[in-house]
Amino acid sequence: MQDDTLIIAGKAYSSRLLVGTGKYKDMDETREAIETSGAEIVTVAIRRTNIGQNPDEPNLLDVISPDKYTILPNTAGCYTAKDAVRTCQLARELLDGHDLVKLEVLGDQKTLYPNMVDTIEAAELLIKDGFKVMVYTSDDPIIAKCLEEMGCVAVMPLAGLIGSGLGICNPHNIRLIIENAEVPILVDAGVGTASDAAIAMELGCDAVLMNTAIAGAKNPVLMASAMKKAIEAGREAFLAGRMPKKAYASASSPIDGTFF
Amino acid sequence: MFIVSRIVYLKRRFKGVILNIILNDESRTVAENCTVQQLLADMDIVGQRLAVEVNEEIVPKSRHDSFVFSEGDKVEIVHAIGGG
Repeated sequence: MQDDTLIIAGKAYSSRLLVGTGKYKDMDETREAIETSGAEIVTVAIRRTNIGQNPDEPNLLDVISPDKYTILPNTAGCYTAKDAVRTCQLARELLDGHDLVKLEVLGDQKTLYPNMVDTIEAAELLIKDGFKVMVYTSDDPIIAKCLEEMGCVAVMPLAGLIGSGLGICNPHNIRLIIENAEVPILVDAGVGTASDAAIAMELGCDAVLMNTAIAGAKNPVLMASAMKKAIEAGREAFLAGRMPKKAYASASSPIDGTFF
Repeated sequence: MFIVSRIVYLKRRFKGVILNIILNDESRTVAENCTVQQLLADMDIVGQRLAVEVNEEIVPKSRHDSFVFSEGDKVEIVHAIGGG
């Protein structure tokens, strides 16, 4: 498994688990959970600085250092292509020219389902502007292929709604997307527990991105450890190739040589 | 009495040279010729990882000490926070 690396935008990663940094109790818990997960790519959100509030509050990027992690700024909260592009441009300035971004343009507050019309528009503008776009998308295989052909460096279909923990709701669509893809496919959103992560990897996903499944666990650091193992187990099972399913039993012990 | 006269003096001294800007959706006044760098210094956030935008245009770090605000500028200062 030494050389089983994930390559995104030309850079190799040994971990296939990408994690978010939202919803943690405090910075210490954030740092500990992320270290335990073994993730090398970590998402952050871009928001206004607090003016005159808690000036001593530690900065997230002091805890999750860009020297140690690949920071993946997201466009969470954006409902238009324009806001998403603006957010990415601010993120690039913030991170000294770092141009890998997670594009998500939302369409509805209740479901946080992606607005694919604006997502495609934003992806086009960002790619033209030199960004390397990892794109959050619905699990439509045709849209996913379209995003790949536009030049997105990774396509990230939802497996369930953001923050829902509903698991891999439509494994058949995820599989269709994977079968057709020539860029990394990551399940982004939906994973609720370790078995969900393993299922995503067994389907052949290149990686999984999650936040709430870890941060929302009773013990986030322990869940981060579980997720790390589930991703590795799922990946190895995928590479190993599972046995075919059969309708009837097939004895594991030889039938010959019985003495009874 | 001294304070009142001081305020009157300051108002005269800076008459017409105080600029109103909108910083992160809040009104703020800055002196004429105030640069981005000076604003960050006033806010005590120099050296932090942040990005500055004025009227929806990025002001790159290399221009923080030369970019001067104009009346009515809409300024956004952002940083990275936890998110998924």
